[in-house]
Amino acid sequence: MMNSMPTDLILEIFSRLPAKSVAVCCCVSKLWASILNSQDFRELFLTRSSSRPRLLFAIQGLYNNWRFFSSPHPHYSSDKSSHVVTADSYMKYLEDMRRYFCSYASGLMCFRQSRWICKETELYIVHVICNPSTGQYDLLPKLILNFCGDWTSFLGFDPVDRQFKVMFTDYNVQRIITLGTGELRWRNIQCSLPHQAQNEGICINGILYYSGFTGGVKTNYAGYTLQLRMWVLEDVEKQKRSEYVYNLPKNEFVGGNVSVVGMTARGEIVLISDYTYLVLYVLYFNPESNTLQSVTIQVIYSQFFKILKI
Amino acid sequence: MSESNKKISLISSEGEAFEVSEAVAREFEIVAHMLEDGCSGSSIPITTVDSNILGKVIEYCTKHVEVGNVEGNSEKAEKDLEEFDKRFIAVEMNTLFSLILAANYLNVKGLLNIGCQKVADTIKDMKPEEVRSIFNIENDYTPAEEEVVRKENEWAFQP
Repeated sequence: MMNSMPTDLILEIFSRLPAKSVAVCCCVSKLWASILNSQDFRELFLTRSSSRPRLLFAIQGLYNNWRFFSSPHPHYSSDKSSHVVTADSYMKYLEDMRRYFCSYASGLMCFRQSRWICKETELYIVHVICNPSTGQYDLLPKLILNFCGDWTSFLGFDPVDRQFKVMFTDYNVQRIITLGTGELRWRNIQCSLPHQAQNEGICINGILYYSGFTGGVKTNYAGYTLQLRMWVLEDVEKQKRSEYVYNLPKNEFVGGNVSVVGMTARGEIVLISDYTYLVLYVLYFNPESNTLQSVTIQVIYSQFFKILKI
Repeated sequence: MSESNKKISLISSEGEAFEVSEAVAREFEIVAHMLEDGCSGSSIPITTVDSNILGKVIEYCTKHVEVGNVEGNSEKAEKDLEEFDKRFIAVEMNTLFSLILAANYLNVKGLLNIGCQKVADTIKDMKPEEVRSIFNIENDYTPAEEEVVRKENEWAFQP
């Protein structure tokens, strides 16, 4: 019966499966594998899964090993301001991933590790690309530098050419590598403006936008009130930007520094408390209704929370 | 006769006529388009759908039109509809596939959605062998090829 289904219906059904089940279905038959490996299906699956964003968080343990968890955005009702959820899915334990986390894009993560080579006064920098769902990872060709700097590495997905790219920046050095194109090679980029990248940035239509010391979304404290300032770049050429300032409603969980980690499909800005132990507080701020919901996520693993992404 | 009381006959592949209100018939987008294009006939042949399946699709649309017309207490109505959908779609695989094909042909989006979701939910936690048996799929991998593809997707078989 499944054989008599038109392909678009088969794609429709498969696109509702979680990634793990898709991989299992590849083992069912050659026909299924060819459908599931097709470009059409990949695109549909990506569109579908990005329309239901999840919280992804990684915990760095005492020995620098990483554990990944994910949970759907909690459903909550408007009459309660605080909710407790449990991280429902445990992903992969990467034992030897003693590296510095750099960034996350479209299902992949980038870590970086550096090591001095004593005799030669050279510094090796290795980037690791890892898929937290499958636990697979690959090393990128090492970069050799002869100075120590304040580096930033970005992993981005270019939806136009459907390529993952990693960019490594220092004040004077910009290098970029494109994944999955045969030979992996770092390219030098000339930039007339020396700058220090400050955040992860976002990739829109193949252009990477990131900020230096200003721009983006920033949180400030005014007394005990948390203030969220947002700049929206309206016109790149005229450098026109508009500023929005939100004073977040008081909330018992807002006690220390918080970071903006992303947005939900409902238009809420998602913040997390930076320094927590045992439990993680996630705040959902809705700028339109000026409401703040907090969600407590409990993970059985008693370590410090480090990062969280959407 | 007012618009909402107008009756339309939908004719199944066996020639059986199902009389429904225009509002229910309009749930079939394909019929809605025909009506908008000025098709004034009161009987519409649905040649690719048999009586059993057409009856079920009409049952689904009737329920959804009824609930849509009820005013107030929307939360309860929504819950009831969810329960109805759940019961409605709990059918054996061949019927489920026929419903999906009919929903696709007649363009009944809600039914297509819950049908595809039901199949996906059924497959979700199955092993390849179980999927093959339930969908009657021939394993065209040689043992050696199967070992390779299993190895590639090894991560998905771990708990």
